[in-house]
Amino acid sequence: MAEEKKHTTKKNSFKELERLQAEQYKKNTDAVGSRVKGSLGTIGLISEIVELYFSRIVDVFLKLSAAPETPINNVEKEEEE
Amino acid sequence: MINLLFPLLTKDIPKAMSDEDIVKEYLSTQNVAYFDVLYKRYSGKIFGKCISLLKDEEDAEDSVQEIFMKILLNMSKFSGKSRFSTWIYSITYNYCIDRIRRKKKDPSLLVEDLSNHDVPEDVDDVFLLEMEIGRLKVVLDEIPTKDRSILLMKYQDEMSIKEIGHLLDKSESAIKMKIKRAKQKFKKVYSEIYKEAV
Repeated sequence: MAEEKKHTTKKNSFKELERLQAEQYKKNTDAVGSRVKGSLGTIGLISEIVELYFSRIVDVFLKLSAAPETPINNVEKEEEE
Repeated sequence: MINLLFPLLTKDIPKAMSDEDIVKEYLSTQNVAYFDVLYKRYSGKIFGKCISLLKDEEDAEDSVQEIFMKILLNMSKFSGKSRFSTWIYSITYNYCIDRIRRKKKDPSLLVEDLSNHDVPEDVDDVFLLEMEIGRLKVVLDEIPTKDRSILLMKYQDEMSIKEIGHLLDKSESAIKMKIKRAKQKFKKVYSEIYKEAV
C-alpha cells in the first residue's frame, strides 16, 4: 500500500458530492414518509368519523326499513266487523 | 406501545458500534433493528453512487431498495476479510453496472477498450479533489461509466488498489493504468466543457 500516492490536500470534492447526494436521498425519503403519514392521518380521520356516526346511520337504516304499523291486524279487525 | 409489543425492534444500538459488529449481532440475533442501523448509515451513500452511475433519480431510488435486499439476503456471506463498506459498495457497483448493461445504455461497458495503448499523462489528484462540486458532477456525468465508477471507488470510497482489483477481477497494475486513463479522460472532458478555465 506504500506505493499508493497519498492525497496532498484535505479537501475531497468527491466526499462532498457524496454528502450532498445522501442529503438529497434523505429529503426524498422524508417526503415519502410525510406523504405516508399524511395518508394515514386522513384514513384515521375517516375511520373516526365512521366510528362516531356508524351507530346513528344503522339506526336510520333500521327505521327506514321497518314495517309499517301492523297492517295485518287492521285487516283482521276489518274481517271481524 | 410498540416498545411493549416489539422490544427487539426498538432496541437501542450504540452509535459507536462498528459496522462489522452490527453485522455479527444481526446474524446471531436476526434482530431487524441492527439492519435498520446499517440502512440508515449507508442508504444515502448508496443512493449517491446509484445516481452517479445510473443518472436517473427514480432508477436510483429503486436500485437502493434492491441493493439492500441483496445485502440482507447475502449478509451471511460477508466474511469480514474486507471492510463492510467495501463489501456493500462492491454489491452496489456490480448491481449498477449490470443494470446499465441490461439496458445497454453504455456500450463502453460491453467491450474492453483496447484501442489506446499509450501511457497516459499523470493528472494530479489535487485537480480532482479540489474541484468545485457543480463542475465535478457535470464532468462525472459526461465520462464513460467505467471511468466514472473507478474514480468513485478511488476518491469517494477511498478503496485501495488491491480492493478495486479484487472487485473488478484485475491485477493491481491493470487497475493503476485504468485509474490513470480515467483521470486523463476526466481532465480531457473538463477541458472541453470548461475551456475558459484551462
